[in-house]
Amino acid sequence: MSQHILSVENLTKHYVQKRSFVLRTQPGVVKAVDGIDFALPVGATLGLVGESGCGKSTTAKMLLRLEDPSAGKILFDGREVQAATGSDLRDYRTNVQAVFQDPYSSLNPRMRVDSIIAEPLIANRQVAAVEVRDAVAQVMGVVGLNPDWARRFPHEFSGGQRQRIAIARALVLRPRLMVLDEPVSALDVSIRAQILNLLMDLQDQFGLSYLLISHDLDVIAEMCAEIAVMYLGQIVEIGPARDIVANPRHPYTQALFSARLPAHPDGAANRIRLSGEIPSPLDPPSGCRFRTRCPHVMPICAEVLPPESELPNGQRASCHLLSEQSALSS
Amino acid sequence: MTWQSFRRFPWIPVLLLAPVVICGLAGPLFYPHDPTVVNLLAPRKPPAWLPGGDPSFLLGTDHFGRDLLSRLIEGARVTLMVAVLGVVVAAVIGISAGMVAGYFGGWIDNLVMRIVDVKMSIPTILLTILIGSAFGGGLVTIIASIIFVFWADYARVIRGETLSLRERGYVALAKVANCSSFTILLRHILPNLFATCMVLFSLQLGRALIVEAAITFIGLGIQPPASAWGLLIAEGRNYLATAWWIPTFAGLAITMTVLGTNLLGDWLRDALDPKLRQL
Repeated sequence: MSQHILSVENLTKHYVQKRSFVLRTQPGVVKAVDGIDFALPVGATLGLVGESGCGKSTTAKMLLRLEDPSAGKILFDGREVQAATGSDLRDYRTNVQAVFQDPYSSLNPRMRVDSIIAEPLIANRQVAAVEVRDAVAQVMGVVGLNPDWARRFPHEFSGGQRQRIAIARALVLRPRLMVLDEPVSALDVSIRAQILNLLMDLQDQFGLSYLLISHDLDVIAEMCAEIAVMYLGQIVEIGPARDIVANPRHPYTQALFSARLPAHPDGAANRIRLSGEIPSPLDPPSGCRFRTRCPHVMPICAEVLPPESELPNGQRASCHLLSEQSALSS
Repeated sequence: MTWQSFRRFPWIPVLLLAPVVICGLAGPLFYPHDPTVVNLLAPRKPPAWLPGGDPSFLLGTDHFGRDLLSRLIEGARVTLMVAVLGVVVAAVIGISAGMVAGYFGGWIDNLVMRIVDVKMSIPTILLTILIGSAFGGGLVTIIASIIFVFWADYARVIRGETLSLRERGYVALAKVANCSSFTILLRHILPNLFATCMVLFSLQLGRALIVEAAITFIGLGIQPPASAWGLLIAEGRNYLATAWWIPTFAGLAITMTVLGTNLLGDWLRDALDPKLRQL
C-alpha cells in the first residue's frame, strides 16, 4: 500500500434522524456515504464526481476529519486516521489541507491576509514571528500574489485572488495531500483556467497529491489521472480518467458524460436523458441504486446489488450489464 | 487631524455622551450646590430663565429646595455605574454563554437555552423585586438586576449568530488547520459577532437606564437623599402640574444618553467593520 498516499475502505456515513418524541416515528437513516473504497496514488489526482447530494462533500468532510465516519477506514500512508486524536491527528492535519468552493466564506473577513495564511503554521508549529513573515511572503509569491498585499483584508481581493489566498494558506504547512472541494466552481470561467494551472504547477513543484471533488466534468477530465463516479452515496464506476471519459461503462457514467457540452457547437451531442429525480437517500432503491432512472433496467436490478466488475485496464463498474458480459465471455 | 477624519469623527454621539461621562467621573468638582442639602426656603423654584427663577439655581430646585442641576450631575454617576458594570458584565456573561451554546450544541446548548427560557418567562419587574428583597435595595440591586435581566438577551441572540457562523468555510478550515475550539471561538467567531454585539450593547444601555429608573421608581433602587435620574422622575411626577422641571430635565438626560449610546453603537459597528473602512 506504500504507493498510495491515501486509501479508503468501506467508508460510510449514516446520519440518523432524530426520532420524534411526540409522533413516535421510526428513526430514519440517511445513507449519505455508503461503503466507498478508493485509493489515491502518491503525486496523482483522483477526481470524485457526481450530482449534488451524492455524498462527495460528506466524503471530503470525513477525510478532513470534520465528520466522523460511521464505519470504514481511512488510511494515510498505511496508517489508520479515522479515529486519530491528539498528536496523531496533528500529524495527519499538517499533511492534509483543504481548499473549499466558496472563496468568500472560506476567508475570515476580520482577519488580514497574512494572519489567514499563517494560521495553520502558528497552530501547529513553534515558529518565530520573523519566520512566519518570511514563510507567508514566500508562499504568497508561489501562488502568484504580491507579498506587499499581506496586510490587506480579504474583501479587497477578487474571487480568483481570494482562491489564491486560500491555496496559499493550504500550502503553507507543505502538506502532502490536498482535498480540493469544488475549487473553481464559484469562479468565472476566465479565472478557472488560471487557478487550475496554478494547482497543476504546485502539484509538480511540491509533489502534492490531490483529491479533487467537482461536478464539472471538464475540470475532472482535465486534471485527474483517475476518476471515481458517485451516485447516491456509492461509487458506481472508478478507473483511469482517460478510459472512463472515452468509454464509460456504467449507464450512469454514460449519461453523466453525455451531458458535457461539445467542444464545437456543431458537434452532435447524443445526450442520454435521465428521467426522474435522485431517490431519497433516506429510502434508497433495493438492489442497484440507479435502477429507478436507468435506461437499461432489468428485473435482476431490483433484487441484487450489482457486483463490481473489473476490466483489464483497471476500470471497475458496478452494473449487472457488465457482470453479464463478463459471465458470457468467460 | 485631517478634514476627512474630522468629518468622520462621531461628533453627535460624543457631544451627547461627553457631559454624562464627565459628570459621572468628576461631578463633585463642579456642583453649583451640594446635591443633598435641603433648602426649605426655596422649594420648587423654576429654572433661572422663567419668572420667579433664581440665577444661582440654573435648572430650578425640587420640592425640598435642592438644586436640580447638582442632582442631575450626581445622577450621572449612577447612570455610568449601571451602564458600565451592569450592561458590560451582562454582555460578557451572555456572549460567552451564547457562543459556547451555539458552537458546541448538544447538551450544553440545551442547558443554557433552558435557563434562558426560564429567565425569559419571569417578568422583569418581578425579578427585580425578588433581587431587591434579597439584596435589600441600592446600587447593588440595580446592577444585579440588570445583569440578571440582560444576560439572557445576549445569550439568545449570540447563540443564533454563532449557529450560522460555525458553518462558515473559515471555521471548517480552522479545524483543518488544527486550531483549538478556544482559538476558533476567539479568533473566528467572536470578531464576527462584533457588529451584533455593538448594536445589542447600545440598545441594552438604553433599556438599562430605563430599568434603573423603574427599579428606583418602585423604591428598590437608589434611596433618597442620594440622587439618580430615575429617582428624580419618581419624585417629580407628583409635581408635574406645578413644577414640570423636576422630572423633565432628568427625562431629557435619559433621552440624551440613550440616543448618544445608540448613535455611538452604530458608528462603532461601521468604523470597526473592515469592509466599510474607507481607504
